Amino acid sequence: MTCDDFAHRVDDLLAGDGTARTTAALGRHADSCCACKKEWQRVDLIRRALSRAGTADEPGATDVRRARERLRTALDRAGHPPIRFGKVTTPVGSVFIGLTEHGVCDLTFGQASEQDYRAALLRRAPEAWRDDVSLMPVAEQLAAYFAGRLTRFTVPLDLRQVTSFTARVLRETRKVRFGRLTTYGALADRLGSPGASRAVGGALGRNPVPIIVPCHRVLAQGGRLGGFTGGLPTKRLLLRVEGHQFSDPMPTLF
Amino acid sequence: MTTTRQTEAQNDFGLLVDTYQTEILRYLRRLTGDGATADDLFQDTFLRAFKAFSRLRSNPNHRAWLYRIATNRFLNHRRRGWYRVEVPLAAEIRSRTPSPAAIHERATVADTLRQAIAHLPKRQRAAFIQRQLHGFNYKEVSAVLGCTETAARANVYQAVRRLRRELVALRRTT
Repeated sequence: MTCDDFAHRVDDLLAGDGTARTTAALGRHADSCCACKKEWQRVDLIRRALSRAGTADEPGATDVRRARERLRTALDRAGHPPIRFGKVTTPVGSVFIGLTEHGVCDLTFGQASEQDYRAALLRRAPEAWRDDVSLMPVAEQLAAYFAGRLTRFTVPLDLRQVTSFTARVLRETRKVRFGRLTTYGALADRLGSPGASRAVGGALGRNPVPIIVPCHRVLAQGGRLGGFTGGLPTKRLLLRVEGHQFSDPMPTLF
Repeated sequence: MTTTRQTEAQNDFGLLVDTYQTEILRYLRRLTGDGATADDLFQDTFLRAFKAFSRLRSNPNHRAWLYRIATNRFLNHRRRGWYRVEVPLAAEIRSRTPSPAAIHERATVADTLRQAIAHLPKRQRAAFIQRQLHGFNYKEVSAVLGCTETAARANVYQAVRRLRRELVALRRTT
């Protein structure tokens, strides 16, 4: 091995391309060449420092936990909070409920499996896990509502995922009291957008928390039921809970 | 059943973070040599990853994908005085009186190496760290840097030659 070879093979070694044979050959050359021996000692120092360099920056469990917490906060601030969810049995069948730290963010009538519901939540949330305990206050209010003991939901809501127009429609809808009814057109008037009943209907169709935001109290013109994400039988049943009789379905276009 | 499970796991960002958070934080700390900057880039990396995640269709290699985002965050990161805060290396070593304590000497060699790595141009630094400290082969380095394997290899070798030059003043004192 020439001294030139030696220099190149040292590069290989430090690039991680050397084998045990490379190391041995380099050592043999270093023993026979005074200049290269010094270099070889330096390389040895570098290699040993390199093997330690990895550990110097090793993040501890606390560092990782702190970084993870900061990431959760950053994602939450960007509108992607983690979601806890659970399943509640009601007279209108089982419903899935999603909850963020800020409040209820989703209520889905439960034909889907738990896995599918979780997968749907994970399309917008970084994390989703089942947590029935956190959901108890919501479950209790739902039970009280269906028993006729509760006329106004007080659980906090997290409606950040809807557009500002939908949010305005939902806020206005919350003002329709238990037992009262209104129409898409009347709601549009109250929002200062007369004639926007179709848009209001569309916004209500995107209501992420039906029952709690009582979009079932909003009907079409002329006493027709209009639409409902959970299906019209559910809408009818909810209205019956509130003292209205829609047992005989009115003819609708849908 | 298995397919549902797999879809679910692929869909699960939390699981992805659980799996790779320590490794990516370690990588960013090695790249930046600075815990606070590494933390910032960590947030940045996973925020970006989350935004792209739902559009990601059955990516077979999440690990390489995350390394690539982290590396791009690092390469695009500008910090005022980034190069100015670091001391001129060779001069400092020459003027330093050798410490008699072997432990101290060992720490000095490690510190010197860390500083020399911090002085490398960013792409070389990233390539060298991936190769030497994360055990990537050149194909993996090239995938993360978005270049050819030849270019990846060139970056690692340029880094090695530069490190050797920077560390020329190191002497064995034990």
